[in-house]
Amino acid sequence: MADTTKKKGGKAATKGGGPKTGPLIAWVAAPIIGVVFFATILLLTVGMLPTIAAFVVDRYPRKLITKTVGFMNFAGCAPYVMQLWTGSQTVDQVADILGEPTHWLVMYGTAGVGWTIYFLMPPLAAAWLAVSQEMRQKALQGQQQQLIEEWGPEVRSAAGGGTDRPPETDAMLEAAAASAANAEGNAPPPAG
Amino acid sequence: MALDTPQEAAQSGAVPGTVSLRGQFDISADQPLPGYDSPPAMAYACSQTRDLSRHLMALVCDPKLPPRTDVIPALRRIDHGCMVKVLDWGVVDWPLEGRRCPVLIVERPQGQRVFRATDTETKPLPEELVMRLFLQPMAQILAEIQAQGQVHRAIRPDNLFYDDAQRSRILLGECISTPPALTQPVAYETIEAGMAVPAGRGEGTIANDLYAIGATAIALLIGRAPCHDMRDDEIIDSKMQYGSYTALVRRARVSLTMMEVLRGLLHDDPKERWTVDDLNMWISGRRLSPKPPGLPTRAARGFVFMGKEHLTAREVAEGMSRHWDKAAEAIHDGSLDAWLRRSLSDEERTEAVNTAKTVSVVGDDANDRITARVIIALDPFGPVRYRDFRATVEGVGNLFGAFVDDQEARRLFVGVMRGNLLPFLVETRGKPTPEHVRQLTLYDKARSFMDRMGMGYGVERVAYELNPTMPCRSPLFETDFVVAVDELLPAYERLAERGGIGKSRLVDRHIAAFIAARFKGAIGGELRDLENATDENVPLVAAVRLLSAIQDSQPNRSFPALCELAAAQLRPTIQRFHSRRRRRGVEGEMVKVVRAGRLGDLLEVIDNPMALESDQRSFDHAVRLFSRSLHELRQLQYERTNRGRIARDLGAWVASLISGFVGITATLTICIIALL
Repeated sequence: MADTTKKKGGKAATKGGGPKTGPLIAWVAAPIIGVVFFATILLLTVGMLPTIAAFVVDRYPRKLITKTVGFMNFAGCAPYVMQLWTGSQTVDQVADILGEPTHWLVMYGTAGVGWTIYFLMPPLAAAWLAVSQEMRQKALQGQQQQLIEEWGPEVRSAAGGGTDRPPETDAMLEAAAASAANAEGNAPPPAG
Repeated sequence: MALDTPQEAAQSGAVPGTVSLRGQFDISADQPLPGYDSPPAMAYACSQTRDLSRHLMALVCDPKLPPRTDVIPALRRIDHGCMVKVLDWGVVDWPLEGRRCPVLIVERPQGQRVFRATDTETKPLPEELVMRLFLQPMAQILAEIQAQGQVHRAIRPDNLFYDDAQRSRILLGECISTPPALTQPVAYETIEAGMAVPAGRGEGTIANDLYAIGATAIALLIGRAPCHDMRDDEIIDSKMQYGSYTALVRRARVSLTMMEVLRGLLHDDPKERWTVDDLNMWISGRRLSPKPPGLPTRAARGFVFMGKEHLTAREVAEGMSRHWDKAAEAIHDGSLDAWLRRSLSDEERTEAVNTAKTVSVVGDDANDRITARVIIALDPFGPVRYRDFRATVEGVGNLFGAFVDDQEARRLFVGVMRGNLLPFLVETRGKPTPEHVRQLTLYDKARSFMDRMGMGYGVERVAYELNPTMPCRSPLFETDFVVAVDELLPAYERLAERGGIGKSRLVDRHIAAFIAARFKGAIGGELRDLENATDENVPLVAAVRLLSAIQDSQPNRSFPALCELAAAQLRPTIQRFHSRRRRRGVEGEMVKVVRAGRLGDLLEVIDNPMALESDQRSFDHAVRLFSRSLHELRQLQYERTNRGRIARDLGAWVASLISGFVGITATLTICIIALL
């Protein structure tokens, strides 16, 4: 046990103290970047306010709404960031850019497109799920039927599926049990 | 069973006709010859197909009383003109009975019986004729029978025939149609054999035949059966009291010449009884002084038992065996001991009775065993007596074989065997004879079978082991006659052709025991499997496997009907295959192999271990597949129930992918345009 700890410590030391140097670089680099790219940061802060709002309301652990809105919002801000980089990169130029209402429309409009994509996808996914589940069920029931035809009802009882009720009934019973468990917050994880 | 006469058969609707025995003999079922009946066998006219001039008759035997077919080869070697010759035997479908019966083909005497029946009277024969027509040829015949190692055991006046109308020759009738001595009246049997029940007299020895010759000679001399007006027990009592010669001759006048031979032949001590050589010497003119009767030791004062006074130990033994339930009292109250010591003064008997009583016996039949042992001690040369079971040492097996399906007979036989009465009897007699040693070895072996209750063992096995000519007594062969194991499958074939066995098992206890006793192959595994209670298919397969082993020992014999019957019996075992397709395949193959008539082929189809194993493996795989599909269906149902939430998550994920792709593409495009 002691040897293992020693080995692990030795390995960490040879890598050059990565975990310790990361925050140090961040603390050094961040003020420098903040100073050098102040105008860009200012523009993006104002232009990506919808993404910040999406981050606030996003309840997904993987922040899927933020990503959806953020990617589109950034694409909307990108022309003005490029304009800033090819220009003087000053606060005045940022003020000029923000002073144009169409620029606001472009930046916030692309964020709206992101929201639109987010709202359109779940119904489409539900429709696709309904169709694919139906097909899977038919395929599985067909397979069971074939097995029963070849091996008789005893194949079902040997598999633990009961002897005198069809598999649909088993599935319904299982589903009812799962729903009850879900209501108590103990639902099994979704497939995939 | 009593065989039906043609008249009775006609009333019952059976149509008699000609029955062929192997194509060599034609038996006319509609031509009975009542004058030649040998009860219970019945005589019918018969002709030999290649020699119609021969005077033959067929004796249709009672299948329940198996004929002595094992002695036929030996007796056929005896070529004596004064003995009815047995030409052949076989089993035929007898229309008057509607079943198969054993039939003997014998030469038909040209004259009538000397005595029409045992109780009829006829004109006495002069001594000269008795000697010339009877004693002389009988002595020669017995010498030949003895040389063949056999006995006749059916010498009596009504089994003698005149060979012509002039009555110039007397023929001795056959002795094969019934078990030995079964039809002999008590008067013609020795005291020991007479005390046994007819079925339990056993083969005996040539001395029994010599005794019967003596008794028959008296009948011929006096023109009627000796002691014709007495009951069997009275005849035995009279023989015990006065000796056989005096009891049978009674007040009849016998010349000194005849007295000599009769006393010699009827001597009650087998060691003193004349031998065949003695008889032949007497016939050739050597005269001896008449032997004294040799009566047993008599008591000074009689032992009174059940109101009758007994003077000898043998009389007491016989009296006790006739009043069995009262005998135990006399044994235990000390009166017998006192009589033995004070009145009989026979130290040997007293000692033997004490030995008989000292054995420790427990159980319900303790009194019966003690009584049987005391009776043996009192009369060691008499038969084994155990309540109604009364048989000579060699007749115990015959008696049990005759009543094997009778529960009481079974109980008594088991009592005799478990009580070790036969070893005690032989031990009490003194030095055992080689024949008795052989018999005891046989009974020891039988007892080991009796104590095992599985299929192929038990009392049924004992019956077949002790009776080599006993037919299989299975209810399946009730209308058949199967004596040898190679006749078993043909009998099954006939049974199957008649319509099968319904719901009966193919091999029952009787058949299993019959096969175990008669078949010499290794069938222990099959016998064990016949009573397998855990898997109902195993006994079905074992039964067919057993019959298949027999068929394998008889190459080139096919039994299609039996195969069809076996296939029907084995049909439930198809269920051992899980695959429906394979089941259909096996059924199809069974139909094919049934036509070939080989049981082994049928077993290869239905009891192929490799096919069964492969099927089991495939079934296990199918079970796994089914189990997986069940799991997936449950998962699917869960997804259906929670489809809204899953769709929302999935939609958000897809939306982020689309947005990411579009956003990055647009950003890169803008950057490139701006930099150009």
